[in-house]
Amino acid sequence: MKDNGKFFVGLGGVALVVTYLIWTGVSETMVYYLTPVELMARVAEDPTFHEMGVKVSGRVEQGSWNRAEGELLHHFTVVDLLDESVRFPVEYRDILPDTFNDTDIVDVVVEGRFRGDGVFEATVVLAKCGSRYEATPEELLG
Amino acid sequence: MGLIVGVTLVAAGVILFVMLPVLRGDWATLESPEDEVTEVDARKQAALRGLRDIEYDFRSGKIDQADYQLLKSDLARQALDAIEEERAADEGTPTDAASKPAERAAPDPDGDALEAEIARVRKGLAEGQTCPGCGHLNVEKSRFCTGCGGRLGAMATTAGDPVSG
Amino acid sequence: MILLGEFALWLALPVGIWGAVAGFIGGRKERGDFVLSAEYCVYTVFFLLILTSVGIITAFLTDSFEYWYVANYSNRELPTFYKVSGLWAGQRGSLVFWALLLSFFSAAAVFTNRTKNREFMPYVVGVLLTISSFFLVVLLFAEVNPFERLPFAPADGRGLNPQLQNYWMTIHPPTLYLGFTAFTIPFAFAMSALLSGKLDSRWLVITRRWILLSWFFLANGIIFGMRWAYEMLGWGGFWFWDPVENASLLPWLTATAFLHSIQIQENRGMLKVWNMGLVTLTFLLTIFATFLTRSGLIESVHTFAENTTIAFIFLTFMGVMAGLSALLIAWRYPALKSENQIQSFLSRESAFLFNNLILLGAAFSILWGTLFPLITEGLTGTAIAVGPPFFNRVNLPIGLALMALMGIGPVIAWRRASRRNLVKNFLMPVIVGSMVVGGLFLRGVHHGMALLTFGLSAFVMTIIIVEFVKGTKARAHIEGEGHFLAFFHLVSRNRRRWGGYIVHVGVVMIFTAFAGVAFNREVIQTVDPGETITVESPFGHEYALTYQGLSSPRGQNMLRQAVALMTVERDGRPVESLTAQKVLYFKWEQSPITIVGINSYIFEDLYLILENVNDLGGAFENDAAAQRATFKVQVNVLVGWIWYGGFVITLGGIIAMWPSRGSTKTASRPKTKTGGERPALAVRS
Repeated sequence: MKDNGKFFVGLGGVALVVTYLIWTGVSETMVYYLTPVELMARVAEDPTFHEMGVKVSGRVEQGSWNRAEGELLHHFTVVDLLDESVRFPVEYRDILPDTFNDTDIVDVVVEGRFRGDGVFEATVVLAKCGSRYEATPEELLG
Repeated sequence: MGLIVGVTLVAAGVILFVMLPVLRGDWATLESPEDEVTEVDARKQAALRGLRDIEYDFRSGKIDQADYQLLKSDLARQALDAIEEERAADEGTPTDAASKPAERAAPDPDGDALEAEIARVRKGLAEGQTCPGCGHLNVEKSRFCTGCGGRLGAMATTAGDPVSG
Repeated sequence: MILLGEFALWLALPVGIWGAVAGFIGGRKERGDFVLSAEYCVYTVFFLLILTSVGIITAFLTDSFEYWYVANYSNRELPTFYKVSGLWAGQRGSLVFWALLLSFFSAAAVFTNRTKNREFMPYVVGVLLTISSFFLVVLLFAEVNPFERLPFAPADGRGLNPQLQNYWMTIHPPTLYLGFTAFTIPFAFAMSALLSGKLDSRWLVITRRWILLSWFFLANGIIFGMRWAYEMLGWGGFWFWDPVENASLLPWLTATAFLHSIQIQENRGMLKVWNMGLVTLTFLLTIFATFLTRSGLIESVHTFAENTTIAFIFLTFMGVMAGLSALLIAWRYPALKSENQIQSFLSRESAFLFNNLILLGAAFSILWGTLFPLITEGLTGTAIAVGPPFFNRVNLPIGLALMALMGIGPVIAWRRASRRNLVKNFLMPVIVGSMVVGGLFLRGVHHGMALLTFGLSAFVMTIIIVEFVKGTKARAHIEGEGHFLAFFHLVSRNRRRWGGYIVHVGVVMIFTAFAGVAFNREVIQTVDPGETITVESPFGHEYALTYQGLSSPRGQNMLRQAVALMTVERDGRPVESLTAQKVLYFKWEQSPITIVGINSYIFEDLYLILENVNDLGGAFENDAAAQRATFKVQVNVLVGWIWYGGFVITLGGIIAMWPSRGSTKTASRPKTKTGGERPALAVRS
């Protein structure tokens, strides 16, 4: 009985610490993970939403990529995967991943803040080529 | 056509190979006698490892003399028990007239050295030359322990009392 | 040949199923003929999967684009070794590769145990073939057959994703897969122990080397992945807490915990239920890793494709295996009682237990963070995500605690350590650690967490060095050997322990490297040829990179290539030049790939990224006017210590795994033969 006691005390202690770490970790670093449609809905109903960290997944609008001359500044537009009328501009000041371009179908995840001026200020941009890595037989033979 | 022939041959070959034991009644060994020994052997090895570890721990200053003695006699007992079990199991097996206990032991030089040490301790305990107080192994037929000064052999008490006078 | 490979895949399934059934029946009914047949099945499945793999590779090498898989992962211009590694480039082929490696290890396990541990083998074979059959079922019936054909052959394939056209492609996935699949063996032995009732430490002793081997491959595979990311992704980062990265880390964490807790069971007969649980958990996590990568359930740059059939199948399999294992453990619970108790909080058992709890805590938090979006979406309809900030935040204290334990573990004795001795033994390492912290602080390092890391690092290193010294001295004294000989014998007589300490040194080096990230520097500048970018490192080195211009050679499989050259001076003296590139591969013409240039020094890396060429088209045409480019230059502090640490871990692991003369248990005795009994590999004599 005695050994079980020691063991469970240790287990309990570590479990408590880990729970605390996870709890505070989540509450301080969590971001909503939205689609553009959901983002726009939230922004419409809650003006303070501009201050929050947000992660949005969508698609790069073809032809929307602009790169500023002489400085590391990118602009592009993200559209919703399902409703193409919903879109918003993104501003990004770091190196874009190689998978990013505006000619192919590129799915993108941007994380950052949706500013009051209607531009999404991204701190992280992840891009994935197309809807899949693998082509359908039609695409291959096409 | 050639493809069908080839495929059939491969399939037939594979099926034949796999079913051969059942068809011919070849049996795989389902027991290894030494596996029984392995279990006792594992305990013996653990005890011997423990002895070696506490030797180093003591000399590197991680454990006290008192703990060292206690652990040493405890582990020595465990190792001896395991060795006895091994000897008994081995002598009980009829077909092993040819294999001697010494051969059976794992060729582990360090383990052998420790086994020799165990043997000495046993011998010492039997002849009253290991001091029951401090565990120091004394020269045969000593009367006083050179480690702690306590009495040995026929004159032994428990923890060594220094000789008066 | 390709058709033979396809046929072999189909044939492997009935063989695997029969072998699994025969293994279980043979074990239950003690029918040696069934068991022998089952063991033959193990070898046969391996042989058949070799044929399958050769068939797939042949399809690649012969540019057989009528096969959907080849068409998607190859093209005519692709260099040969990427065609060969096409076997594991995509989802389907990598499932075959997994099955191949699993069957290889299964065959090795059966072969090395053909004359020993025989009571375990029937159920071991049963479990192994069941798992192999699962993978075969997936390959054949879940719409992921690598031999699926198109109506007619396209003229050329789609080509291989440029990010995979890197020599790490041939190293990282295979190593990782070797680690994942090797762990199935200990799991099979554990299940066999439960089924047959042989619940002492034997199954641990038998599988010790397998566990180490798996852990070794996992550790190396993960480090290779970090190196690949560092070289390839062009950001100077090496870990992103990407769901698939996390999935590979989870079994490594639990395997590390397991490596420590088995010592408690071996030495003290405790934690038997715990170990059964851990081996099952680790195995399930290896399957989870495949599941996560295959199912596309969680978005990741790694995920192959969304395929809900596969997701469902894997989830079911994991559920079934988890349930069966739990049932077995519950059934055998009475026999798994501990033989001893923990006598004191201040003991090595206690330290190992903390190690286990902390590692599992890390694994749990990583799992939680990875699945969080799914959980919240399922519960509330909105997904909430956590990213690198969460994982870094939670795992930092855990990493520090682990470092502290690596220092405490060697010094604390089994069963009961004396407080006085502990204090005596910690005094010097604590002083050294404090001096390091103080010294760094005075030199301007004020980052709290980094200071703590460096201090702990010095603390642990001191303890390990002192351990080696003390151990050598003790041995020299006991055995009367000279110091060099004593050191050599010390290590070779107890390879697990001293190999383990060396591994700890490697881990400490890696943690130290992580702390270095806090001090990275970077400069972003747009330059014309002749202009210079300067950047200073925290160590005071000054780098001057002078842009020479762009050239456009054309490597194999490249449509276009632009190479920027920088001559570099370090503290005023010329050193090796750096090049950075943009490359367009055939078939992937929309995505130029960035290739970075790295100069490595002991304490820092100089890292050059060609971020943008103003007129990339012109540059590709070697237009002299199109030379203006934007570069990012980074100084990555201490990043090299990850790779050096990896080497040290490898060294320590090899020492720990190295077979010693006495390790193959008892020498073989003349076997008792009754009737038609033979060793498992029946040799006609």
